[in-house]
Amino acid sequence: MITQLLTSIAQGVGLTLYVTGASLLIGGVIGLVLVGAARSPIAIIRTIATLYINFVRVIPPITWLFLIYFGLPQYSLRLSTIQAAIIGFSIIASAFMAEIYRSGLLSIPDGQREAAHALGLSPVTTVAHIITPQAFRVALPAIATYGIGLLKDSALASTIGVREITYYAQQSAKQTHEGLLSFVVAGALYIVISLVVALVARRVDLTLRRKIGVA
Amino acid sequence: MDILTQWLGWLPNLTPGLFVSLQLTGLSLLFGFPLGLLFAVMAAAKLAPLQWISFFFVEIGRGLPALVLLYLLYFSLPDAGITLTSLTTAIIALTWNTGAYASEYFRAGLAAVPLGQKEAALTSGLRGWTGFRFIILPQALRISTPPLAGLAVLVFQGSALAFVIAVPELMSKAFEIGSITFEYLSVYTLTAVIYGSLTLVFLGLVRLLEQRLGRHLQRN
Amino acid sequence: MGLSFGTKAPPTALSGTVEVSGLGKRYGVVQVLSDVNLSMAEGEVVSIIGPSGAGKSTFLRCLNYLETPSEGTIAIGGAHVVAGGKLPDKASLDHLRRVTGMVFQSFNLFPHLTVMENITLPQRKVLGSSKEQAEEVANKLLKRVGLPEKAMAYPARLSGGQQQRIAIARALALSPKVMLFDEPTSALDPEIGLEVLAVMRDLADEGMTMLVVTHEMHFARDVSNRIMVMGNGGVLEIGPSEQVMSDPQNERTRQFLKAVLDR
Repeated sequence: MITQLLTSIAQGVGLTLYVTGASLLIGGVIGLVLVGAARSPIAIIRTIATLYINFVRVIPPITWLFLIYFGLPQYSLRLSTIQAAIIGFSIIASAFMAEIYRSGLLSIPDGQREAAHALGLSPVTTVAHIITPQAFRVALPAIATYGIGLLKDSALASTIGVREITYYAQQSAKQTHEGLLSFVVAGALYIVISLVVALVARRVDLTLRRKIGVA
Repeated sequence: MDILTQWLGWLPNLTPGLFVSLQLTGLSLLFGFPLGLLFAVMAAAKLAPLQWISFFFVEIGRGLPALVLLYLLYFSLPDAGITLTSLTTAIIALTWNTGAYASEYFRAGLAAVPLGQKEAALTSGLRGWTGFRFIILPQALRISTPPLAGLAVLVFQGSALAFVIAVPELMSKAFEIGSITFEYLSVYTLTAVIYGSLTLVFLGLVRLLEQRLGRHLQRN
Repeated sequence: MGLSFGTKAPPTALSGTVEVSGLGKRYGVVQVLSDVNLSMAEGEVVSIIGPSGAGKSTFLRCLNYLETPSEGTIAIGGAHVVAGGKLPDKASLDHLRRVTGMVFQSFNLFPHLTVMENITLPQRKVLGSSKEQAEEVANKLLKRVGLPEKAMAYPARLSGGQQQRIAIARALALSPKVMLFDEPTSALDPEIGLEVLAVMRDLADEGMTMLVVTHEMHFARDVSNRIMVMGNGGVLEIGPSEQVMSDPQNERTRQFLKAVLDR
């Protein structure tokens, strides 16, 4: 029974990883732009970026998904379930990632910037070669934690019909009447993936720590 | 149609849903926070079985997506002969989820109370439960309160999940309106505004609370 | 509620005497304290000095079982505890901690309670005093440490010196027979430390039995009756303050005093 359930529910692992990974990547890039915009010298850009970062996060993820999946087609923007999920989670992830980058940047002592300035490095060089590598190193554990959080949030994609882990678990539960087992299997899959992500992140973290050795 | 008139027309239908959302949130916090404290204390217990029980419930409550936890209870409790309303099921799932996360904050709070406080309590004769109750716990709670308040905001947002098991909360009501009027974009925007503004109000309260709690630590 | 501390011993008149013999402590195989003996008469003040790592604080903290000694016996103010083997029963530990008051280097006032509550809470919970009784005692003690106006303040609003004086008042509120001071002025600026030392001096003059781990050589010489010098977890020498300061017998004491006094 368990093997059957496992083989059917594990079909969803691919899409779970795809939705999570793509959203984290896209959100991560937008987050970079956001954190840059939030420190822009132009006040209006700063305000918009800050508002975006703060407002995205006060709306529940499921509301975002429904807004996009059911709302946008009204303007003839017809999206596949997967596209809708990735767009929704990317928007959410961008705001969270921007916050993570921001605290990473804050953790870099002013002395680093001052030292770079005193050495005559240009602002671009300073950001690219001095600040970012250190900030990334500081932010990495937080990014990994957020990635695992996003993995769990991606279960919501099942509500708009994305065929990921939770979707298949629900199907199994209905078809086999093994509700408990179906979701125990699904839960176990999420936990295993989380553990793998956490382990890999720790590996990378340790390697970077040895290389860069941030305080 | 003017969007504001449209929204005003929907509000009477959405408000009962919002109350269910708030009820769900409130009860999950009411049960979840004490449960979290219990888990935290059990995790520090001398008896190993207590630690295992705490570990088991906390890791499942945190490690599983809240949605999976919700489905797990929803689909399995009836098989075990337990029939509950979907609201009750949602409350149990969110309470479990809340308790698991809260226990981490309580543990961190308890760990953050300096050892010297425990020693000073001991040498002042305040040992065991008395010392815990009057010296350690109040300080731990003050440390844990800001993250717990943040958690409360997340639980409110998480209450939207109950939609999937047909609890008549805000998201369900919005979906109803959407499926009748096909004005999905508008109704979900309104829903987002309601969630967002309440969350902002709540975050404001959290900030006030933090300031109040920090008062005794201010030097002047 | 009188003098019932839950021990099975008859309620003899408690006196502030200290009798420690053969006290030792090991962490695993590391012997951090070995064969410390100390006998103090009621009202006596003994300063413990010595280089850091000598085991001074460990010794003091063994006396009220903040650290568990591995061997030896402790008898303080009617409480009697034998170390080693299994832990002493709760009643004996309670008794031991009731007859000793402790003042810490880092004050350890309860930050969430007002000064008044810091002093009254232990009385109410341990002695079962009423709020009024406890506050009366607290007010007297606050006057005694020179801070009657700070009753309603929270600790964070007080200077380090004031906090330490409150901490002394808090310890005194349970009427201990022996006061243990663990480097009470080490966390304070020298001029602030003086106000704490003044309170301690008064306390000594009033006849309190005191055991003080300190780096304040003036206090050790002028206030204490005897000085105990520790090094490497043991007692290097112990004797009348004047004599130890002016004519130390042990070579390592001489080195230590030279290093400290020549600074």
